Amino acid sequence: MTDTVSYDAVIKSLRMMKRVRNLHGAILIHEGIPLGGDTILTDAGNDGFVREVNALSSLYRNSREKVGRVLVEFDGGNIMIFLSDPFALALFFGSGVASEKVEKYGEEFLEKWADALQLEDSVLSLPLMTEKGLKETNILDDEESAEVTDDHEESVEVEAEPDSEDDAGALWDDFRVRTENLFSKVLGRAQAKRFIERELTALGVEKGNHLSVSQFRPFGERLIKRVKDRTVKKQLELELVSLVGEFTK
Amino acid sequence: MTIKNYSVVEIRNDSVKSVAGDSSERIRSRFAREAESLQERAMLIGKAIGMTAVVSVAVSKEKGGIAFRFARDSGEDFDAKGILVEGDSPNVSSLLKVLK
Repeated sequence: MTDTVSYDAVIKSLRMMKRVRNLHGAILIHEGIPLGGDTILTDAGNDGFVREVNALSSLYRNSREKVGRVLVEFDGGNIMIFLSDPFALALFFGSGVASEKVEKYGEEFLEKWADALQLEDSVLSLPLMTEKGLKETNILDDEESAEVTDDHEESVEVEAEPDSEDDAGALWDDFRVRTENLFSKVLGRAQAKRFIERELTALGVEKGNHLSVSQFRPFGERLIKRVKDRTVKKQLELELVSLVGEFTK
Repeated sequence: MTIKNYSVVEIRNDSVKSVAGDSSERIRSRFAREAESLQERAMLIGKAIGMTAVVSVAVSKEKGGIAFRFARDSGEDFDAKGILVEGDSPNVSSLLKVLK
């Protein structure tokens, strides 16, 4: 990925799709970190789900098989997951919605945002399989396909990413130190450092690894969610937005 | 275009029996190995979001796919039914549909 993207428009569109298509939930994950979405899960449930999706993705990454989609049906609901490194899109739906339709909704969503997310074609459209073989079918009629009238025209801000892995690492180190400084205002310095380490470990980011610039904001938001005092939370939020802004200008 | 490299299997008492398509030992072993890992991962995903029983799982890959579903009732003469596709990459909904 040579560019990073402001994901606000993508997340807004995802939430819109969830509402319009009567899904139970939708979440977009980037390099193992939730960028945003709308689910009925608790924070712990969301974290656990994202962790398990990462584990599922790793299962195939280790065997060097490229996985496109996963559908899991449970007795109380279903999940369709689209895997396209570095992204994963998960759609939660009930038995009242056909999985073919959800697969199509996901395809349409990813096609719509393919350029912004820089997705490969392989994940976008797969043929249907019938007992007689493969068949290309549009399962949605035109009227239904036209239902989504949300922000197609919304612009997506594309920004240059650091040239090398070293630069990306340096940016992360800088961001991390400044985030520690920020949280040191309300915690002790050592406590702030441990707090950030703990959150990174929970996300599966090992020592020596770093987050990319596009992940700074969701990571910061994750940290802020842990702050209980509403006034402190608001203040930290403002400062964090400003801090992230310095890295994404 | 027709999918040629596939196998439909039924699992009874931990034994994988081929019922259609390629019935080779390689295919049956591969299915058993992959389905076992997938079942475990699906259960952990379910646990994370408060779901208890996995009904079915389907995965489409760049070159192939796998799906299985558990028997719905005692009227079905198997514990689980599955399909393994090699080469072609069908979508996940239709993989499961073939098993229903």
